[in-house]
Amino acid sequence: MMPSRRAFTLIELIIATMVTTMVAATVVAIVGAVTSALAIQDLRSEAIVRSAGLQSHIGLLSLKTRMTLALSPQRVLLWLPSETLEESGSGSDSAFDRIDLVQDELHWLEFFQETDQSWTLIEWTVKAEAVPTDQSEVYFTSDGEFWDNLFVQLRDTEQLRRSPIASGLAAPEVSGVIADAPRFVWQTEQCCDNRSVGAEFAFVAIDGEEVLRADMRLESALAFFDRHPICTES
Amino acid sequence: MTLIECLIAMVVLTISASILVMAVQGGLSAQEDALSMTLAGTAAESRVADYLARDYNAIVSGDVTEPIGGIDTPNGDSFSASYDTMGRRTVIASGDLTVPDFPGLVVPGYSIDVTVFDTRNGETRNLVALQRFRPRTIEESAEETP
Repeated sequence: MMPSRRAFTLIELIIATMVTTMVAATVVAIVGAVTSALAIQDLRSEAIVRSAGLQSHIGLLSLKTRMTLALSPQRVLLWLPSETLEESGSGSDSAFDRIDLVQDELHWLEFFQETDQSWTLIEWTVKAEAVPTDQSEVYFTSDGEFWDNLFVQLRDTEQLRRSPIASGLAAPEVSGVIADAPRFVWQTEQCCDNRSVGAEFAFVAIDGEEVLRADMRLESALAFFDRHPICTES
Repeated sequence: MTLIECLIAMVVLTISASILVMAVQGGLSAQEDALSMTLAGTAAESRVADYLARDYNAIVSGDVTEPIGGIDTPNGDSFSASYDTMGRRTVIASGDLTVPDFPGLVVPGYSIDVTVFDTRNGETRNLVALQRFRPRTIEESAEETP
């Protein structure tokens, strides 16, 4: 004869249900907390790694840049003369006047807004192979409008190389107010005297209804600033 | 499953969950410190860039401390809320730089020391310390010579 198994009592079932409910509630709470923590971790990791990359990129450019030629909140033009400091610093060498487009002397940095409203930091450089030899020279001027027009002309004729440096950026918070857009910062608007360049932007992540932000301000001095003689004359 | 087995399972689950939470908390805390140090580095670099970019004659020796939450940009704007837990100390001292491999070579200039700090458990903690030297260039020396 088979032994008959005793069924669960009501008390046992109630306790089992309570324990299961408590464990389930704990697991759900932990999963929620861990998910939220991972979102924060993602934002922080991204901010740390990408800001280090950006800082290093801007630092390298500021090391090579002798002057800023045009400054606006969303676009700056850095001049990296191909001649040596000794040649360009004399103040009398015509080589410092001539800017060779095919020698990688001009670098535009631009904050560009994408269709999803996020911002991308782009570096534009001249495609040497796309520039006709008889149009490869421009001459120094402190007129920012000239450089803006040159940028538009080169970009529209596809003579510029577009290199995204950082994407998914957002407008920074400045003095307690969220700005309209990421922006470049500099020491003075006078390009002839400006000796630094930097950027303000933010990394943003959405966690449920909460918006997580990490605002950044990167700034770097032009290590080998070289004032053009025309600036001194003016 | 007996009640005892059920209770043991619950204890094991609770311990596992606690370990998971502690691990995540530890990671978060370490990452928060890493982000603070990254931000502190940018705040210090910003101050150094400000002094390196100034005219030599516009640099003045001094010891200035911006309190926690009071870090300003060179234009006088406040840094964003991400920097609210940090303060910054800037020490500028004039002095000559000597180069061991070049006896007799003396470069006049200013040493720029920037320290960014915060407080943790009531104690001040240095997050980043940067030191740079702003030399007086030949052109700047010539400008001073009558």
